[in-house]
Amino acid sequence: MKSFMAASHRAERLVKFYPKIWRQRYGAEFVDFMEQAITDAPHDAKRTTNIISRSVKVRLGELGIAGPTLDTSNASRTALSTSTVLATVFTVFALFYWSSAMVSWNSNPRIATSISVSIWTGAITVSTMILALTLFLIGLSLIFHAVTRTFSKHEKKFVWPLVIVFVSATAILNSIHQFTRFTIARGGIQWTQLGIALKQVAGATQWVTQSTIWGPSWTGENSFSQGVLHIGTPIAVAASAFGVAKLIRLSEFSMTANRAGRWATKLLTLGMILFLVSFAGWEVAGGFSGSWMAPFTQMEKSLFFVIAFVALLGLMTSFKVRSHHNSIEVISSNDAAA
Amino acid sequence: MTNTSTHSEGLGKNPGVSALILSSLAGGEKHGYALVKDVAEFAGIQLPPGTLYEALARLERLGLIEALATEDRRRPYRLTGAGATALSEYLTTQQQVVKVGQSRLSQGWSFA
Repeated sequence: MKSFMAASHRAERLVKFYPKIWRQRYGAEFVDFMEQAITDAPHDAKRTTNIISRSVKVRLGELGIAGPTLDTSNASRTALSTSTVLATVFTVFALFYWSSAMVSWNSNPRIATSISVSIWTGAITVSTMILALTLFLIGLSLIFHAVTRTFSKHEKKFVWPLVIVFVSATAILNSIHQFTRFTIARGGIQWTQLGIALKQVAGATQWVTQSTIWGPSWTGENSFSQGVLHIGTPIAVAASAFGVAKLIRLSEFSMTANRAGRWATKLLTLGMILFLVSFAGWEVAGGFSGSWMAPFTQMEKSLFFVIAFVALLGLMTSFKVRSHHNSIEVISSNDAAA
Repeated sequence: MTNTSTHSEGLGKNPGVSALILSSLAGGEKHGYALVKDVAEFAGIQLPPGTLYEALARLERLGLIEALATEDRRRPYRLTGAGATALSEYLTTQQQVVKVGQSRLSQGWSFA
């Protein structure tokens, strides 16, 4: 009896590797299976490894990245939610690389930046804007939807994600404010002169993103880089992304919203791929050559491969939602024909 | 010549595991643990739980097996008509492979 209880506890622990939706469908029978398997052979590392590896695969499927999903009716929401998290991580790095390229552009009064580097800097700017604007619009529309539902229909499910989004947004805004104080003290951004304004925005972005990427480990070299809210910027960025992703998961999507979600997923993927291509082009064309900026450190270069991997996951998500959408259309047309 | 890949697609990914499960269910409905024991008995292969449930989900999605309603935790699975056809086609291909392989081996193959 004691050994059965132990087997039961272990089976309960192992089933938790799988996502909730999988547990709802297969959980009970899997636990029953494992109780018998553990009673027969109490210790089997190969078996545990098999469960962990397969459950990761199931989780990737449920996140809309790879493999099939049990939650087929919410495939486009899942894809959008995953893409939002991936694109948020990517965009923080993209903003850092963009701001470095933009600050370096024509920074040396003696040597003008080459046309090819200028073109690639433009392409980097466009792709970064696509990403930032798409994420901003996704966040804004989701927050608007959730706030409306919370107040008009008293839906409590949105409260916690909304609190997380608002608190993290406050921390991010505080961080931005801390780093733009220098610019503000010197008369603010000169919006009338677009070139200078762009450089000033890039300068402030460079500070903020460096702080976000390196977090508390980065000294920041100025007296404003202190305070709990400010040091917590990387956590705040992650929390806001997960908050918005949760809002996406909790929202009920209409047909139009589903279509918009699929387009947003594609747009985020396009932005990420475009950025990678533009940045590679910028590097090949000369990058920092001729400017006063120091080249990227080894660590900063290595991080480029990390975001390339993030973009790959985004691409997989986008392809998966596309193939799933196509299969739904095939099924619908077959139903119509029948 | 029969196209092997087409038949493999019929059983989904990992057709070997699928064929073992379908062959077991061809002998009657079974729940997960009974299925694993049966496969171990007739094929000498121990299906790990993660692989088994991944395959069960895939076969169910493809409509080759169906889960039967039960109040117990042990949910039995049953082979469907489509599953029987897919298994039969797969086994026919495998028989062809076995036949060709055996005949070529018998025609004087030797260690170099």
